[in-house]
Amino acid sequence: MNPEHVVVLYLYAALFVVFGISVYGIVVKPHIVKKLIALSILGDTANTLIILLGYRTLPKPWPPVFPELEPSLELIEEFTKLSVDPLPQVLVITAIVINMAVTALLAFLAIQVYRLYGTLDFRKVLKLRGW
Amino acid sequence: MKGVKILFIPLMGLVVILIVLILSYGTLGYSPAEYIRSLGEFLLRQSFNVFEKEWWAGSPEVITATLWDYRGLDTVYETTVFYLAVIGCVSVFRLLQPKLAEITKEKEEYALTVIVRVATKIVLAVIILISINIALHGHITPGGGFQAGSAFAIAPLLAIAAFSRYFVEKMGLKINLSHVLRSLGLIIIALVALLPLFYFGYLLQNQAKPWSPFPGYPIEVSFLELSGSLFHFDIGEYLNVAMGFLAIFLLLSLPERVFKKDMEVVKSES
Repeated sequence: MNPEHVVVLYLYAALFVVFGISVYGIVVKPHIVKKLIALSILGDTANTLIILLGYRTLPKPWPPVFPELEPSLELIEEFTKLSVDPLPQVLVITAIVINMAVTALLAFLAIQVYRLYGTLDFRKVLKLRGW
Repeated sequence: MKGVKILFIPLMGLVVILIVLILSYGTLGYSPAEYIRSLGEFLLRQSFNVFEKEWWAGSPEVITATLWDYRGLDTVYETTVFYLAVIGCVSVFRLLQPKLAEITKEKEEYALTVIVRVATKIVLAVIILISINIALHGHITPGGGFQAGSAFAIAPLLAIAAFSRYFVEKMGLKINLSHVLRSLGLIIIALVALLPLFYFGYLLQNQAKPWSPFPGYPIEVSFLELSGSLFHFDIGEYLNVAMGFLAIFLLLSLPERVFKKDMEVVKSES
């Protein structure tokens, strides 16, 4: 087994451990802000996983940006052979912005819940009726 | 109740392990290899292929080209989602008496030290300039509308922390201005996306294609590298994201007593 593959396996293991912790936080923690933090960790873990899938196990992979504005045919071929996959990065940009929007909206809702009920504990909020 | 909890945690553990197994079955087969998938290779080869212009996007930045040309419709809808999320935030935090927001215009009695204030002012200028640079260069170097907007978002946050909400409004960054500019960004994106239709091209067309009569957006104007429609899309996206974050932070920094006063009126009426 290549040393690069071992590193990749370790990265997978670390990502899945973080994934487990974030799911635990979302499900078990009663505090709404803690659930929100766990949710953002879950999103970041998924994004890191997607980025990892687009990596190339070359000694020196290129970023997916052309180094010259007037490329030759050889440069285009070399670029295609050496650069990392651009598609996962594009998907992750989309995911990050949606993640931010969702987090902002949930934070606003959490503040509103605190204003109306005076608590952020989910168990107490469920028992209250009106204000 | 306690028995349910004891069952619940192992069940969750099982679910997590199952998800991990499924994901790793799907992903380990595709784990980082020396070769990438054919779609990624197609994008890398075609996006700045000056020799075969049938599929090219005219941008040396493959990610921006993919984001706004090959997957353009997806990104337009995503921009709309961000716009609607900010509208959701505004509607959750709406005041029944908008005049109450004027309370924040009071004297700055408690100021931070001179060192913090001067350093923050210098850093603010640099942040805003760099974010504009990222937005205008997004089609040539790494960057683009989202990244520039996120970089800009730090500026109001820093100003609110170091000075006050009033300072940000005094800089001219008011919430109504942010709504206007945000909508302007979305309008720019919509116009640039719809313009090829009037030339009998197709929606979100960037460069000229053999089967479409639209001549394509200009690649360069004299010495400026524009990369077709990507430059205009980046500007619209920058306005949308940057001003969306500005609106969010201005709303979040409203003091709590404003909302308490607002709620008292509601309670007394009901």
